[in-house]
Amino acid sequence: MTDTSSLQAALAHHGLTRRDFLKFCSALTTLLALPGNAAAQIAASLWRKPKPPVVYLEFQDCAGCTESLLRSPSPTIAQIVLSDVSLNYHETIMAAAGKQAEEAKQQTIREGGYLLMVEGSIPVGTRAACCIGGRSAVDLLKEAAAKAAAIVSVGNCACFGNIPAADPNPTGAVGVWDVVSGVSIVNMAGCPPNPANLAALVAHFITFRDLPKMDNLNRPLFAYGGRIHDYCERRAHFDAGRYVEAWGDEGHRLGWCLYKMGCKGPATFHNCPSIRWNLATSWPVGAGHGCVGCSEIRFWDRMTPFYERLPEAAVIHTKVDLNSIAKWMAVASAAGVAGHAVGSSIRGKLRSRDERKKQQGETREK
Amino acid sequence: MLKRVKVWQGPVRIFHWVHAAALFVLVPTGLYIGYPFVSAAAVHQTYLMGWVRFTHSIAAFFFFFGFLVRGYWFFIGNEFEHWRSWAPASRRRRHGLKEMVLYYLFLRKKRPYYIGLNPLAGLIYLCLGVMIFIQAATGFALYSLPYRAGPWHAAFGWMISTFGAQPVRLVHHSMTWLFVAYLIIHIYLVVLDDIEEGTGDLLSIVSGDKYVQVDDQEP
Repeated sequence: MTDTSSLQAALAHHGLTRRDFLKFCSALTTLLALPGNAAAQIAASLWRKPKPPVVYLEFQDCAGCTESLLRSPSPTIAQIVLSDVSLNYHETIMAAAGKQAEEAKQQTIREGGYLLMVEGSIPVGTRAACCIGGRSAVDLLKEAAAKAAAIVSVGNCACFGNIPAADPNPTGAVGVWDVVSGVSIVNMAGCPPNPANLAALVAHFITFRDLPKMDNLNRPLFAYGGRIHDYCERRAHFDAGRYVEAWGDEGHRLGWCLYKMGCKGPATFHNCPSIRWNLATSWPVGAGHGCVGCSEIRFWDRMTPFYERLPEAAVIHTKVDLNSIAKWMAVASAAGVAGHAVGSSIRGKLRSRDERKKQQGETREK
Repeated sequence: MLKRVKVWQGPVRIFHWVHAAALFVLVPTGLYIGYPFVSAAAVHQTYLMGWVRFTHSIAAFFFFFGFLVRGYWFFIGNEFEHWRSWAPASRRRRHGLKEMVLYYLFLRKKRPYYIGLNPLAGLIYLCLGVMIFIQAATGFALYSLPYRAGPWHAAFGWMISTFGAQPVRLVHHSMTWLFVAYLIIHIYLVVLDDIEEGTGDLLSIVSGDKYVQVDDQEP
């Protein structure tokens, strides 16, 4: 990490030119779906304005989001924007430790106006499940949230609880927005979220001192406005009726649609098909694996089984195959109808026999 | 002596056949969308799933708007079409409901006599109405997914945010089998009723008329 406070110095440190920087600003403008002239505004803001200090907290997580942000093959400008400048506290990557680290955090919090990024879910049920320096995650989060300019929940755990919160949720894990109120929260959902989207969000915040337009799950529309299925490169195969039937079959080799292999692209909102991963080389569906819906709320409960088309219904912690039950009800109704038809025809026969007898009786009486 | 009684008026009969036709389109296309059992060959220029989904949504619109018309007719229709003759709202209807169930279970010898719908049939159709409502709401919610700024998402998108797209899909898909079950039971029972009642039940949904013995009395 460099101890410079301006982007200029950080770029120079990594041997990047201003031209690289402008290209990056244009890309961000496109990503944010802003008009072309906003690129100059973003460039001017990122170049001159002091970066807001960032406090990055980790709770019940796997540090995978941090990995995703940092472990790109070469230092990108996105990475510099996100991590190299004014990152005052980050448990995984800061050089300081112990008292020194805590002091840096406390000072930033005292000064206020920082961007609080949170990774990992917060255990509100079993508070002792996640403690740092003897203090619970709920405590630490509330303290850091109080004077934050805005909160960015990085990854599905911080947004909605994700795996720690999956049924039966032993620690009572929740997302940041379930704990904190009174501060604007942006949910950068994903497992992990795309660093390009996070960079765009930060650039938007620096340029406009405001958060972008969001959906009802507080996810920015520029990144989570479109459905994966509608922007997927395999969509033409879906519409044509060409599907992968088994892993490694002819259709799989030809890049057909993964719908029948349980792809959750039709239920997931994320810009993976256009932004992609690993320097935009590929993404899960591009690599031949269905989407698992990682940017959706409670995806671990709702999108599983990942390789089946339909989810399982959980009735009191028991998985129930609702579809099969309904199917057997249809079969049972056919069997019931057949049985009833036999019964009714016997009744009809008996009835006409009774009537015949009655008539015979009546004629005998006469 | 037989008397002709107008039981089902024009709009109700049209609604019935629009629904019947739509259901026979919706079930197979819906099952295909849920599990594409026919795959297009690699060499053919097809748009198989595209056309199936298009057909499914067009039929769904007919189905839903027919449903709305029928709902309206519940309030302005004749005595047989009115909601009061469908819901077990009176003590007499509730008693009739019990008698009808016992008759179908072979525990009563004599068939309760009704010119219009018997209370059990009315109740089943009301349950069908609830099923149609759930199916339409979940269907429109799924239909709204590609365009979250649109009117369908404004009306039905709350289900996606409350339950998630996949659970909504599960309900929509599972419900299809209940419609299949309904179809089997419905067709069987109208044929049975036509044979046992002898009032022209089967044809009444085409002509609108039933034929009633004038000396017959409803219980």
